[in-house]
Order: sequence, then C-alpha cells, then structure tokens
Amino acid sequence: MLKEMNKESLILKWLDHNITDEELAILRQYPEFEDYEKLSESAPLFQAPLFNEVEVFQKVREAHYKKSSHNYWKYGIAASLLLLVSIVLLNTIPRGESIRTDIAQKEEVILPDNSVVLLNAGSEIRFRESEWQENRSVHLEGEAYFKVAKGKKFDVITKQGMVSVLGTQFVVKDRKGHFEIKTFEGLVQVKTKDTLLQVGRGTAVKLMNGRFTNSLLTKSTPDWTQGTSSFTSSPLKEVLEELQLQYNISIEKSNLPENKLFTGSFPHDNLEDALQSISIPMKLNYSISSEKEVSLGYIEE
Amino acid sequence: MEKDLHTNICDEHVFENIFKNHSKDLHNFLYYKYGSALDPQDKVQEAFVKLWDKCADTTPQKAKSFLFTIANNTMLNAIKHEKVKLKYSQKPFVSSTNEDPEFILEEKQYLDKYQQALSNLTQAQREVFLLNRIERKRHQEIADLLGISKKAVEKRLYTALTKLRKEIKNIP
Repeated sequence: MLKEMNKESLILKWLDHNITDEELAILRQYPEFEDYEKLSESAPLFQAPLFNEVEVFQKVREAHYKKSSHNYWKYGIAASLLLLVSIVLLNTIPRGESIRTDIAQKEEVILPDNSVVLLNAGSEIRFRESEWQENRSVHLEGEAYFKVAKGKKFDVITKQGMVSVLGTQFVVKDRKGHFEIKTFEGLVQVKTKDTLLQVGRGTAVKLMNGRFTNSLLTKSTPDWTQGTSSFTSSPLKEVLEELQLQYNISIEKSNLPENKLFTGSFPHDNLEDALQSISIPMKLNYSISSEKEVSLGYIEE
Repeated sequence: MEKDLHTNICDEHVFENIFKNHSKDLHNFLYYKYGSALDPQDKVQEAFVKLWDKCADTTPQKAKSFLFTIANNTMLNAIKHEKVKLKYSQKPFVSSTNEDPEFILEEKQYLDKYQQALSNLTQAQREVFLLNRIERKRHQEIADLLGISKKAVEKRLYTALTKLRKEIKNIP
C-alpha cells in the first residue's frame, strides 16, 4: 500500500515535469511505466491544429467595428444623409485601386496615409482606398518595398502568406515558389499556412522547400531601389528570373546548374555588366544574340 | 474609481495584447476538450467579440476567465454529446528512414487504439491530460487555466493516464 502511494506521487512528479534522475530510475523499474512513457511520447501526435491568430483577430475586429456602428442607430437620420453623399462619392471614386508594373519598370506608389510602396518590376498591388481608414491591407504579387506611416496594423497579403507590420520599413518578395521578407526597420510578423514568425530589424527570412531560413542584411535599403539587384545564397534560377524581369529579355539556357547558389549583385542599367556580374563567379559564358535575346552556357572544367 | 488608460480593454492595443496572450491557449483548450467538429476557432472568435462588447465592464485581470467561461458555454450550447475524435498527424513521430512495414502497421494500430481511448476519456480528463502532455503545462498552470485546484488536476491526470494504458492494453 505504501509502495502504491509512493509510485503514484512519483508519477505525478514525472507528469509535472519535476522529477530527478534518481526518481526516474525508480519509476523505470515498474513494468507499466514503459507504457506510460510511450503514451507520453506519442501524445504530441494529437496536437491541436494550428491556430490562425492573424485571421481570427482580423475577424474579431471586423465583427466589432460592424457592431459598434449598429449601436449608433439613433443617428439614423444623419447616417442616411451621409449615405446619400457617399453614394454620390462612390460613383466617382473607384472602389479598389490596383497598380502594376511591367517588366523593366519600377514605380513609387503613395498610399492614402502617405505610406510609400516601391514596386519592383513585374509586380502588382491592390488596396481599397475607401476602407483604408479601418483596414490598412495591401494585396501583393511580386516584390515591393514598404515604408509604412505610423498608425494601426498594416498587412501585406500574398499567395504564400501574410505579413503584418509591427514597425516600418521592409521588403516582401512573393515570386513563383519563392517567398522572402527583409526588414530594414522595426518589426514585421509573417504568417503562412503553418508558420508564424517575427522578423526584426536588419534580418531577412526566406522560405525554401517549406522551411524558413534566416540571414542578416548588410545594407539599410534594398538594392533594387538603388538600381541593382543583390542576392545571398540564391539559386541561379531565381537570379535569372530577376534578370529577365529587369531587362525584358528571353534567356536561352544550355546545361546550366540552375540550383547552384549565387551571392552577388547585378546593375539594372547595363545588360553587359549585369551578365558579367553573374557569369564570372558562376563560371558561365554568355552571348547577346539580339536586343531581347541572351544565351547562357556552363563552362565545363 | 479612476480608470487607468493602459488597462482599459476597450483600447485596441490593450485588447490586442489580451488576444495575443490568450487566444491560442483558449483555442487549444477547446480543441482538446471538444475536438474539431464544432470549430473551436469560431468559438474563440465569438468569445473575443463578446469580450470587446463588454470591455467597459471587465478588467484585464478578469479577461481570461471571462473568455474561458464564454467560449466553454458557447461550445456546450452547440454540442450534443458527440464523441470527440482528435486527429493524429500522419507522419511518424520518430522519423527513421528504414522502418519495416510490420513496425509501421503496429504503430498505426497503436495510434488508432490511442485515438479511441482518448475519445473515451471524459472531457475533464482529456483536456487536463493533453494540456499537460502536448502543451507541456505544469499542474499549477492548468489549475489556474481551468479555475480548479491543483489536487483536482492531479487526480484527473493520474486517472487519465492509467485509463488510457488499460484501454490500449485491453486490461479490464
């Protein structure tokens, strides 16, 4: 009986993550303890599904603000006057703003609160001017640099995840199979289907093969806003995609090591220089066949 | 009585902080207790909307118990004594590359039994057991979370553990 009591209290200590090695050794002498340990090891397989904090908070906010406007029913008359005015206004102002850049084109966009977005080539943003007061959110395809004005939450929604600003200056890049966030100032929160993380000042995170990797930033603004594109350990494939976007060229590739990693940069104003910047470290040869065509090959050793 | 601005839940920043501190715990608590059939995420949302509505009548100190009570009641209203089935994740927990098929089959059978045994626990036993084993919460934390005594947590935990083992091993 005394032994049973003792066993139970030891098991409770074990369950409370509060057991010494000696006590654990005693517990392991009981044959059933092996079963308990297996139960415990397998328990995490029943882990609750990921809780989408960002999405739920957004919904709570929406529900709340919708409701609080219902509470002002007594101002009905004033509201209907406003409604008339706003119907007139709505007819003249487009509801959704959308700005896109073509290949080899960059654009600076000023948002309603004076936040600035620099769109890199071949990118698009969409936002609702009319709802900007309550909901600062921008849909992005491609790559853009954001300088966010002070205020409430600011969200960038992309196909691969949502980036929420807790601070001010950052880059979001969401290209085919490639998602990257660089924070130049402040703090940014990134949310994808299965990850939630924060990216602080001077860091970059990149999603590759379903995994996030971190790196440190060496500059205080992104290079492409200064007329160059730079890369740290990026696959050649991604570098060439960016080159095509910046110069509007087609590339004929022969035998290229597309997954080999490239660290370096290329300028946006001189194709010859750009090709050299990539070719020399990667041991490639290139030729410019016409204004819009380039061929690249791998130099066999 | 003066109200401190920084502790007024109606303030969006204060509210957002409370959301960040409690929403995930609340969600996982609901999931472990009631499973996913009745959408715990939805109930978390409802509870927070209600908290915001009543923000003037409550304090941040009371927010947590308000949220847990509201969410739990909403869930109870929706429930009709359904059996709770928690999904286990498909990938093997210990990922060794060359497991033999027999071992994999045994593991699968073990997990099926485990799943069944979990659904046969009472809600009170299951929530305590999973908060302890999965969320790695200590007994006192669980007691605070659920508003019960530490002793009660330990009693439920120990019963859950022995019951699970007996059921999986077919011990009467």
